[in-house]
Amino acid sequence: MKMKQALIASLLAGAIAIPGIAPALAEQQAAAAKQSQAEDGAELSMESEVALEDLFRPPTYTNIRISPDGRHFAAGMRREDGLTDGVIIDRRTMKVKSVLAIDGNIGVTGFRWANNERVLFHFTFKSATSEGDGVAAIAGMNVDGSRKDILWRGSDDYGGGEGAMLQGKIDKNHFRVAVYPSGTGLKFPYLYIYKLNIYTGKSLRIARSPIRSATPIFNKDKEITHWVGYQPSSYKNRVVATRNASGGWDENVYDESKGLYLPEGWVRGSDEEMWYTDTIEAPTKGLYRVNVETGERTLVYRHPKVDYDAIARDDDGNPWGAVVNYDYPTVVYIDEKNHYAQTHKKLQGTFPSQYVSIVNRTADNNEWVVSVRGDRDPGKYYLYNQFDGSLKFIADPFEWIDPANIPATHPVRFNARDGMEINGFLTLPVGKDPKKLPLIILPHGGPHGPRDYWRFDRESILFANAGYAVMHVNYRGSGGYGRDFEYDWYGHWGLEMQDDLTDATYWAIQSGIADRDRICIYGASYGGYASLMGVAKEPDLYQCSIGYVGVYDLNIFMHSGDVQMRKGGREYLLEAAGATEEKRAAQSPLTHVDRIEAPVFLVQGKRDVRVHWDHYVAMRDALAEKNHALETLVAPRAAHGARETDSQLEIYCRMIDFMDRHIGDRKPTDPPRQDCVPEGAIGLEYKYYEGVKRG
Amino acid sequence: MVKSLIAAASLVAASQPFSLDWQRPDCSAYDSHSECENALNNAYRRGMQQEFKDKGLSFWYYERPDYSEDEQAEQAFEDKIEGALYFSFTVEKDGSVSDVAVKAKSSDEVMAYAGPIMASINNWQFVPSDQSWPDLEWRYAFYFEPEECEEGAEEDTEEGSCEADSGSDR
Repeated sequence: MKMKQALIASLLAGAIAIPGIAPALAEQQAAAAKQSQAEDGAELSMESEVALEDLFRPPTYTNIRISPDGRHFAAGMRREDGLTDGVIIDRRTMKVKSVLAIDGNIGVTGFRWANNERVLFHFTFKSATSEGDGVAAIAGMNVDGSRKDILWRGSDDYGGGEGAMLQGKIDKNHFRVAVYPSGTGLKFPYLYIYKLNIYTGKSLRIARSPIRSATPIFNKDKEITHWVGYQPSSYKNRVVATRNASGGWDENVYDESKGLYLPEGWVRGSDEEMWYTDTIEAPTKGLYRVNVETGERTLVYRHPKVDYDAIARDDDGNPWGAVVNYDYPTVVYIDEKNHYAQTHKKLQGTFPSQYVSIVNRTADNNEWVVSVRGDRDPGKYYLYNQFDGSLKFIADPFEWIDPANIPATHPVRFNARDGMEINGFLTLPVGKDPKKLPLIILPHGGPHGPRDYWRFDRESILFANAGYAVMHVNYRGSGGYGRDFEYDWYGHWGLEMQDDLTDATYWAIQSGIADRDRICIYGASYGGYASLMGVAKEPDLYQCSIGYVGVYDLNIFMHSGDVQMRKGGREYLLEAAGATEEKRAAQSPLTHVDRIEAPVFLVQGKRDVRVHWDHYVAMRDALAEKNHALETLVAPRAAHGARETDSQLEIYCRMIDFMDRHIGDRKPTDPPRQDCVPEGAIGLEYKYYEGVKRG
Repeated sequence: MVKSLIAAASLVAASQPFSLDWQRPDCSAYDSHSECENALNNAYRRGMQQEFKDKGLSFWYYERPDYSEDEQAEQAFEDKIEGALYFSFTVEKDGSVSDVAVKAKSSDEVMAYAGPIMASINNWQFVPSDQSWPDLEWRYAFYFEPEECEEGAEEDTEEGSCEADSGSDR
């Protein structure tokens, strides 16, 4: 099925996938998926089109990249034990030529071609004690499988164990490596840059940022001319350090809530012109070309409603497109005549309902690896050849996912009660008439900075697969819609920010999509706050609520968790959560627990340092004290959200079970499912509070 | 980084005028040699796409010449030998390539590049079709920029770099 779709897509682009060559890789994938499925044990019996396990199964291949000379692909390939090896694939035969598999609890997380013969891999050493934690290391391998070496296990210069990230190429034998010392997180670390020999692993420290949490900008002579970083004393201040004539650094501080003016890099080959991002002239991000000698600046692109997320550049560094996410992800063509813009437009036309991005290119730019993904497809890889203008299918890393069975997501837009335009995304179950559906309102975390996008969203899909409409809402205060949309609403948690979710719910009811008697609100982190605040503020609107690692008491937030440990974090809390104890109490779900009528399910990671355990305990005890219809689930090793697949499977199984009993086809008085612990797993700490009124 | 040699192996579709008195491209209208080279290559690629579309030809595997193991070619790069080579070849029904030959050359000196190019063309693989295509033409041209490479940000190798533009990578 997937091959057929890929073939059709290729044909539409004027290309043909070769039977017998492209399928060689696909066959390997299918075999791996089949084997993996067998090893994963019996599937949980969910009433969904796509098994929950399939949504959580890691991709067979990751990060496919073509070599500079086009003779090989490098990729991450999932191992039988679930970890990921680095592999080199011969382009001509599409067979795996060499494998980098290192013993131990390690997985490939990324890589880059150093040259035609050598690939550098990022590995992560997984933590044995905490879900999701790890240390990044760097390894290298030649395409023929020789010279396999771990090049960087971490520096001991700062207390030991510092991971590293590859940056730019220095010469054929050396790369730059960026190291952020651990143990300095509370003040934000300085960035150290090392020169790493990619064959011997020998390293030499060559630079340290003059400001904290900074990234360097290099000129055409490969000298650092600017650093762009953060100011530890303020959560919203950005710092630009510019090298002066005497070799020192001049610093400019920008308050993000008032606007930024940050250098992005030099115009290719120029020592006079730079690219800058600006949010001073207008609330949304603008790209400017600036002559740093004369100060003359030219606006290249700015979207009136949303920040651009990326700028696409051609071989000479000229911007030809801006990626914006107003509703669907879209490439706005800045320069319609640019060869890349014209080519991308053609490719995009081949996949009209998906998003096409250029992943990497050969050194001569004749061939591109292209990724195509969408709301129903987590992504496939194609190879585009500029000589024939055709796409060839390379691989489907999620071969077991059939987009036809995946619920579609639709951008929606409505006006809040005060007239402000609010954007969101509605995911609808497959094969159901979108009328009077049970609805889950799913606010994102953050709240300030993050936002939701039109994409393959696993959480939305798993709930929609269970029969629910799912609505994400980019409520005011979210990121991505300009500085005013984000910063004007600090301190408005539970107020207008919450009203946007309420208005979204009414929009779904009034549009006929949602059944007003079957609506649940669920979210994680700030989403957990909004979920509990939702049922406290609008007790008649929601029939159930799930809080996952949620903030429930803004005064607890002031003295527990890691946010308050930083000076900038304390400033953030005062502005975001409220300057006075009274205000914070008034805007806390815990204060209004007596107003909560809907059944509540609390899910918490015991090692959460972002939203401390105390929030969960306070809300749990308050609800238990009033004999509320309550269920709890604790993941002992999880921090701010579970990362291990077994934990995630149990959490979502129990969430769906909870939804089913309160807004689904089952009854609130039905007992919870007994089959949510994956086979072979120890299971999390689930508690169903007995003796309380349900239904 | 000083870019000692920049060669543009610009390729001209068979449908384009065939000329032995090859002239190096006039890049004076461009801000940089790189922009000139890329513009010419892009124009060529667009032309090739039409050629391939008309014939129903599609690459499965396109191989670049590897000049690094060829002493003659390496020396020619060092000596900045400029000119053009025209090759002919046949695409068989099964997509393989045969009958690779030098059809014309702008000078005897430029033949120094021919070995690696012919080896690479022999390895090309096209999508199989219901007919073979004899006497297809392909051109490699070599011209050099004597100036220093004006390379900007090189963090992202996808953006191309001096090294990526060099003739030895073609």
